Amino acid sequence: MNKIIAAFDGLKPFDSTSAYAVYLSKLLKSHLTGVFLDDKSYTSYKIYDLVFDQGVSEKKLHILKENDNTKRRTSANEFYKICRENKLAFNIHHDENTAVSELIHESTFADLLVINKATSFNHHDEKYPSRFLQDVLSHSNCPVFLTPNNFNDFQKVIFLFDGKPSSVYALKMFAYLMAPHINVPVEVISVKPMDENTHLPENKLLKELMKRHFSNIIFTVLKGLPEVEIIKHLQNESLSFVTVIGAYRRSMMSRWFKSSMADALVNAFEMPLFIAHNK
Amino acid sequence: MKKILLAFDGIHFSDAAFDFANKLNAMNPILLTGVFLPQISYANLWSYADGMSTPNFLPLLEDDDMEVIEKNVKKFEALCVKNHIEYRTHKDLNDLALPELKKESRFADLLIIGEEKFYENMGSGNPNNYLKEAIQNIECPIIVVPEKYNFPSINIIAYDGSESSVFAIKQFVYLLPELTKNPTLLTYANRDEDAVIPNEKYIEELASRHFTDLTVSKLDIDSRKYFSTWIADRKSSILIAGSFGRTSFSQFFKKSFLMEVISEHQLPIFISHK
Repeated sequence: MNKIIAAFDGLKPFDSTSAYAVYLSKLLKSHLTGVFLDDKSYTSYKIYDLVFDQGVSEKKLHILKENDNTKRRTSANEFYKICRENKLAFNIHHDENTAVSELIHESTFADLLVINKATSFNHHDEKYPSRFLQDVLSHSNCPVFLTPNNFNDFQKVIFLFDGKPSSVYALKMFAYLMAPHINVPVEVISVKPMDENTHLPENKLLKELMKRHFSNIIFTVLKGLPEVEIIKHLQNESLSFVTVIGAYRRSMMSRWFKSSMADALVNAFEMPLFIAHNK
Repeated sequence: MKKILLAFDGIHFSDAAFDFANKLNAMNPILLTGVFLPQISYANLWSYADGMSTPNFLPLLEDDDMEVIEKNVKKFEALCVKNHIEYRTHKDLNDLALPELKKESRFADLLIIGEEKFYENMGSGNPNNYLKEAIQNIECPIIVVPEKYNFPSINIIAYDGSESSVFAIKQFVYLLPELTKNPTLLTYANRDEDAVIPNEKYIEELASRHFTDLTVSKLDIDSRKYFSTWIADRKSSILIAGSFGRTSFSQFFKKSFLMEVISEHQLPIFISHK
């Protein structure tokens, strides 16, 4: 039995996070932990809202705080109800310290982290990926299942392979957690520069490994710029899919996330991403 | 189904390592890839210069050795056929051993190494430098099997609160779910009597999902004795440990009482590091 954690911002919960978390828990026969990050320094109101003619209103502060608490309680209750309805083994953690560090700590003791791509712990709308999310993705100690805003079960697995250790690591993690429970087609996509041949990098070794874990695999080699070609290729995909990518250590992570693949995928498709990195 | 590597250096063949793989195959079929590496390896060429650990001379791969290697390959293949194990052989004899093993390990789920046999002629000390270096650079979890061992029926987890030790636990349960039903002892070793198990609630929450028969215990200063007796009663254990960053890693190997226990009691050890 695995342990999946689903991370929530109690003030701005996303329905798709709980939908995916429940779906994955059932699929993988897992225990589900709802992690409610009730970061005390993060509120739904701004300091400016408290100010009026004669200074700061204690009463108003009290009301606003109560509002926030109610909102947080309501979101946790909703999650509780959904889990009960689906007869899951579950529990709820309320973590009151800084959201990022609490979540990274929780991730050490979990097999999978489910989180929405728009989670930001911020008042204003931050464009994806928020600073919070970048921190979580680059430091998480378990694979991350990054959910879109709408729920779709996945009918296909797309595995992006660049020959680097981290992409193989992501594949292994996906295989260990998911492969025994799913029976869907898998497509391995590699992109090579224009002037190179269309051989799959590490062809023999990769196939030897892949075939142990998945039965229905196709290998695709594209040519050109990864960000462009992969998106173009996936636009023709009729099935809903989950993309497996390996992100690397911090520096690489920022590269991935600056102009990169994961970004391009999240922006182009309303599909989940499975991200794992080994450092 | 898992892809498991069995690494042999040049002329040595570890029966224990093969036996371990064979027992795993009996529980759940595996693909066993025999990796035959050259006996010589300019060990530190690929990473950093370390004059002290380089042997004074490097034996060359001679024709006699080639024959022995061929014999080992034949032996491996015959044993696989006899035990109904699906197998492949990779002979990477022309490259440096460790970089080749690193690449092989990237595309494998697990690597099994026979402890004494692995580069046995390359230096003494237990465990030897080659093993240490291999462990630091390999990209999948490793099981080190001593030549005389019993197949494990008990899991002992060395938990020190670090991310790496939790990582090792997770890797173990993903790779060897067959062993998670065995009695499992999660130990936290600390000489300070007042120390508490770090993140006890969390580690219990995680570990009890995966291990059906779990005991959590703290070993304090007297526990060396206790641990030894405990192990002596349960000879057939496997130790699960995260291997750490380079500094603490060497500490782990030099000073750790667990290492003493391993060499004394000849336990197989499962090592995984991030």
